[in-house]
Amino acid sequence: MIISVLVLTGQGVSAQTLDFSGFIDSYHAVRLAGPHDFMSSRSRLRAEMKGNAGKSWIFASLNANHNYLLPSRTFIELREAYFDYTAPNWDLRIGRQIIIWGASDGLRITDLISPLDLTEFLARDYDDIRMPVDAIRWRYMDNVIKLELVFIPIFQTYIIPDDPQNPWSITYPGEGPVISVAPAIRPETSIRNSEFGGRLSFYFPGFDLAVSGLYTWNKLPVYERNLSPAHDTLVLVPKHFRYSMVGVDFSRPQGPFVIRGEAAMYSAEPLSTDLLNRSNPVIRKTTMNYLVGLDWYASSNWTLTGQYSQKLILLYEDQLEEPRNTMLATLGITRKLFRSTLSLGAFGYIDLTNGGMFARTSLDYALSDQIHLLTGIDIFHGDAGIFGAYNKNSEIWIKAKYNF
Amino acid sequence: MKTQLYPICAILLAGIISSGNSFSQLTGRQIVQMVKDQPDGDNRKSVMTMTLVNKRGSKRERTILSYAQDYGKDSKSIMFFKAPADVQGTGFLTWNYDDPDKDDDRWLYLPAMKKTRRISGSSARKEYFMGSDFTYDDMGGRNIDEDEHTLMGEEQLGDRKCWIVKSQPKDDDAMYSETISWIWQDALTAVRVEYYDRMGDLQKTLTINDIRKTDSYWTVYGMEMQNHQREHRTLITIQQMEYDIAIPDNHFTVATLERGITE
Repeated sequence: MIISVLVLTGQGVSAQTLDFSGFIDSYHAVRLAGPHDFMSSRSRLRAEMKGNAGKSWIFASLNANHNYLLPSRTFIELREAYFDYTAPNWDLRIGRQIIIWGASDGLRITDLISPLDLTEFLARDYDDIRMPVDAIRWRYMDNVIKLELVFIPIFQTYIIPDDPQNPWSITYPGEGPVISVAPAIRPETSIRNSEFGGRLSFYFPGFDLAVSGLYTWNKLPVYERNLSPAHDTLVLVPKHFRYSMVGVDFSRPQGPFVIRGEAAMYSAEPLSTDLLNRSNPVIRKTTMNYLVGLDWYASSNWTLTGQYSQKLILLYEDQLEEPRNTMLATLGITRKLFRSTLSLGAFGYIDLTNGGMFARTSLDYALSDQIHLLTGIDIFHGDAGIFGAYNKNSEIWIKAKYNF
Repeated sequence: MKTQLYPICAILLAGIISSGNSFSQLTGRQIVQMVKDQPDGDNRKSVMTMTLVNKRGSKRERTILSYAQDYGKDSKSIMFFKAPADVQGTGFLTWNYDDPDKDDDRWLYLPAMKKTRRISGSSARKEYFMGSDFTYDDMGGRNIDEDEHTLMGEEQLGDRKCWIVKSQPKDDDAMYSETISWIWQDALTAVRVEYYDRMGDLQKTLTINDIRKTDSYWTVYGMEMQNHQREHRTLITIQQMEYDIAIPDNHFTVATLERGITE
């Protein structure tokens, strides 16, 4: 579909400029604890092409992935491919694209359009985790206002790690019960099942504000849990439901600080019930979600960020698997050294509800303008919650990247 | 008028002096004000190459496309990195305010993240820009009244007759204890600037090595900033400069930053 859109729209674009760029990278991670097995081992070629003629643009980004651990993740994919038409006060983008809303880092409050690829959970760069959607986006803009309307006719779910060979898989053999994941029941592609929404942003001196609304699906599935007929396996059945979001976000600089915030109400958000409730595996509830964040642009190229987010389930029922309140915080720190040739970074999630944490630290050395060498350590800690589930997955990794 | 990164040189901006004026009674502040006030068009577009040279002689190059528009004493600018590949497409949008008590508005667009974020408009002033030897302040970020300007005398630099102006910051936290500028009287442009650190030692020297008229405006096409203490140099070459071009009103917006400009 995407290729046909590009071909059709591209017929009117006899490119006046055509640029090619991309990169080759190779990433390898080893578990810190025994048996020190590979947690990830993959290489990738990213090729990007951008062309324009007058007010029309085409862009295509292609990934050729080779995964040394997981044969199913060796493939060629069209990551993004879209056609742009740009007028002075509006533009139109049709095709596969990444759409990002909100003001938060690494947490999702109003940013519900582009799903996530959790093949390696969160232990990758966030821009690699983010997935595109096949969508139409129209924007109007003037000096202060930006209005964005989106229409997403094709459903795209999160990628959940369920390959038993994947150390990040939710079915990876461990101490708990054997788990298998049934094929997902995805919404059919139809107008009726399309997602749509809008975001109205204001950019004032000293203050950014946006209000947004989205009629969407839970792209991260809720799971109906059943025991296999032999009672030896827990079978997870991914399910997707409609729900809607209305939200607001803002950013305000104050001296060396930037204060950020997001809040959203999800109506009829599907939530899993506990294992005992076999007759009613999913309950729909209204939830309130908010985040506050502070960035500190300190001297000597230090940047520190902190975020706190909370989710509150209204009209809570005890049979829900998720607690009434869930709280998550993040801390981030970056420092550039030696004229920006060396970047140190750390970003951590702290699960305040269950006591777990995940921290990803990295060191990025620019050997030249084209070649970057990176290394880092990912630490998981905790006994419960999503980070606790990965508490044996702490790893050390290396990466090399060549940009062209 | 106050510019930002774009022509790199608010204090270096070109102008034309009408002949016959008498400057004998000028103060240091008046000279700096003349430099700042001279005509440079209502807007500008440039393509420049910034070459970073370390003490071993190895070079790194950045190519930057930028636009700027004046709004009275304030200005707006937008710039994109065209090269190298690892930062290609990165964009900065800045709304500069002449009022020293009002922080600039700044947004950064990172193409890999597909995301625009507000960044602090005040803290970056003393930071070096993208690994170069220029701080944001060096590139024109200072209000004229943030410094005390004193005319030290006149000196001939080659065939250029210059005023020597010493500028001392009023703020104790400033990066430099003083700067000394050689301002070419014909072009009202600083052709040499020495920057002294807070200990009073010479830290950097800016040398203008190519200055020409474009569309009746004096324009700096080549300059070098030498950091004596870090043994590092940054050379800037302006490859393309246009003045008073047609720029849409909404060019200096977040939407344009996200859309990207390649030419």
